[in-house]
Amino acid sequence: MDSNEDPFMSKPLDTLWYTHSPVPTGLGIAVQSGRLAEAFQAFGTNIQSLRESSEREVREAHYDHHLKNSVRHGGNIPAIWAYASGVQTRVLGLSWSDEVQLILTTAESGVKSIRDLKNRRFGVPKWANVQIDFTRAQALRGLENALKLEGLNVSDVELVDYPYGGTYSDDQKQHVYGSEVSLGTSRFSQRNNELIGLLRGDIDAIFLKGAHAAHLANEFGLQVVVDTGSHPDPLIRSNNGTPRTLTVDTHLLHEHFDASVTIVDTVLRTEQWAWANPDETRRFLARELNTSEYWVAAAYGEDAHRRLRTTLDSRSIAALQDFTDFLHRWDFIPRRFDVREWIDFSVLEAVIGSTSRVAV
Amino acid sequence: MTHPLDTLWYTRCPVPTGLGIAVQKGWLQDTVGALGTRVQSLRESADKAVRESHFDHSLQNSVRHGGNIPAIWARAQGRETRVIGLSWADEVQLILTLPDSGIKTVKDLKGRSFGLPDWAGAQIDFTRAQALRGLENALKLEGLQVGDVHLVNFTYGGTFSDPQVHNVNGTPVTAQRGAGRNLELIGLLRGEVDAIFLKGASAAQYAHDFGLHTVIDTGAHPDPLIRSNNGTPRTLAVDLHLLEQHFDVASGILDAVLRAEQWAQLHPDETRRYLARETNSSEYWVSAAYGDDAHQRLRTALDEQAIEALQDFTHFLHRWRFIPNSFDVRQWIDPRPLQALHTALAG
Repeated sequence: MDSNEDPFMSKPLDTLWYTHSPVPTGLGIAVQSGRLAEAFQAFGTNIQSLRESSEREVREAHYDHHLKNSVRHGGNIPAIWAYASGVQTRVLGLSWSDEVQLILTTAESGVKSIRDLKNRRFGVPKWANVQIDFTRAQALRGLENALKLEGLNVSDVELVDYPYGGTYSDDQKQHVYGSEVSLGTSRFSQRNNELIGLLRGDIDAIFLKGAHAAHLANEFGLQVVVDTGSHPDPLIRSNNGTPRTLTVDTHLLHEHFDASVTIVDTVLRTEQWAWANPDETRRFLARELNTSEYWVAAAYGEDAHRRLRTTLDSRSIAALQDFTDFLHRWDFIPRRFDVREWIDFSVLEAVIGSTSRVAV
Repeated sequence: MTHPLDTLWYTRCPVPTGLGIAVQKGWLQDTVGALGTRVQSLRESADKAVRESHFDHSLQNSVRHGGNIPAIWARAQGRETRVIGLSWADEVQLILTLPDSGIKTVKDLKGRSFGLPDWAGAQIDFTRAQALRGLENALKLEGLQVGDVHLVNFTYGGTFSDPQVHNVNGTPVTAQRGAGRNLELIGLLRGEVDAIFLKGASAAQYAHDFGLHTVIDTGAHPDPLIRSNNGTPRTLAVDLHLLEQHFDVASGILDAVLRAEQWAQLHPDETRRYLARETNSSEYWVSAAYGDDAHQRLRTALDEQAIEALQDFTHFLHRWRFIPNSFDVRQWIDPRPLQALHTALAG
């Protein structure tokens, strides 16, 4: 820190990098609605979408969070992995939007219940070249939690890998009508390989979640074996998206504390707006997920707008810890850690304190 | 003065139509409501016979805006209907293959297998007719014929009217039918056939979701006769009873449709949202399938190009035995409601 600067004043922040997964998040709606840009305009800070960068290295920060002065709201697996790998980040908030998490089979498979999965073939994605394969981790979590309900283990089913080449960051993204899409993919994209395997009859079951899961299950007449996303036990529901993490790098937190406060304040205000505006929120979510408003409601509920709520409540923290332990047990992360060490409560406290003083 | 009409039944396909937007905006209800007429959605009826009128236009005092195949078929069966407008919203019409099929161009389809839907229980199988049209038009561009490919049927049970339509937050949806959807696409993914036809927003999305190769998009060809199909042009049709006994309602319908379309021209963003709801798709896939100018493609008129394409397509349907006889589409068109509106505007 420069000696002639007031240690209680943050330095001006030139650029804030932001990223959000294409899922329901307060940050995503804050970006889409222009609230984030507006909030930072007063500070002379540019906000830039890191997934829309032309540099692959910058885009990869969505997964490894290596970029200084960045904020991310999305699936917790890459965030947990980055922290476990030594990247200095802090969790400022957790949001919990329950979504459908489906174990799917075909009518011909004969699988009717979880018990029927025993000794059957279960397809899981395998991204060989990525730093952290969140798609595989979330599928295994859904499978393990489903089997656990009937006293079964993952070893009771036969896992079939569906390999994917490349990485999640290979394509530059852009937002078209609110939806994140890849730019200029000349090669044939590989998507939904497990689903294709299921439709071909090569395997008996797969895991899919969210609006696309609900949509594809309907379009292909698939049978839902179980929806772990609607189980009463939050630990059974906990997965990559439950809870989602709002994280910043520690440089931003320490050197630009007011920017961190502005981020959390904007996310909370955006979510409060959403609670009062179900119709417009459903549209924002449909654009974010690149799906229809109908499938948003099918996957996230008619009350999807009320499920946008960033807090640091003990249930979410306990679920995050349980899921971190899961990721370590399955060797997705190099070490286990106490998530409470990772969470910074001071920003949320500052925002909630100032909000109550302002008495909106 | 005619006596007021009690109920107008309306129906539109889950595709971009001026009538669909007029309904979502509430303008159809308001316009004919001023004449003392209430409106009812026939596809949301609990009665299957009423719902089937979306396809056979059997219901008196009804209006339909949508794919022309069922409308042409009903007319060819002797149903007394009249076309009061035609709209032409170009959409993607794709012949799709797996990337490893070895089929890159239309010529490569020769001798290969092509999957077609086969709704044996339906009165008029518009899904099969539109796929054959897309295939025939694609092959024609390279001097080939449908006989040069091997057709494989994917049989569906039931009829198109079996499930009741529900309106969920502005999206018309049908209750889940369980198995028996997208059978040609599943057949393609399973390697049972080499190519299939899909169109519209869901076609663009499936091609993306499964990394399919687009052999050709006949919906983007410069010749309108190559593009003409079930949705190009779409028909706005009423039964003759409505036209003769309640001309004010018939022209009120057209008035609401034209106003909705004029509103759409000026409101691309909101229109895209309405179209996403109509097609139960995302706004991105609406733009991918119907263009960034989708809002400008909603224009109901009686253009020469649309009439000629409708005639050409009617001959096609007869040639393929989807309809018992061909007919002169100009005798089916009644321009009076459109003329009345133009006269009113000029006055």
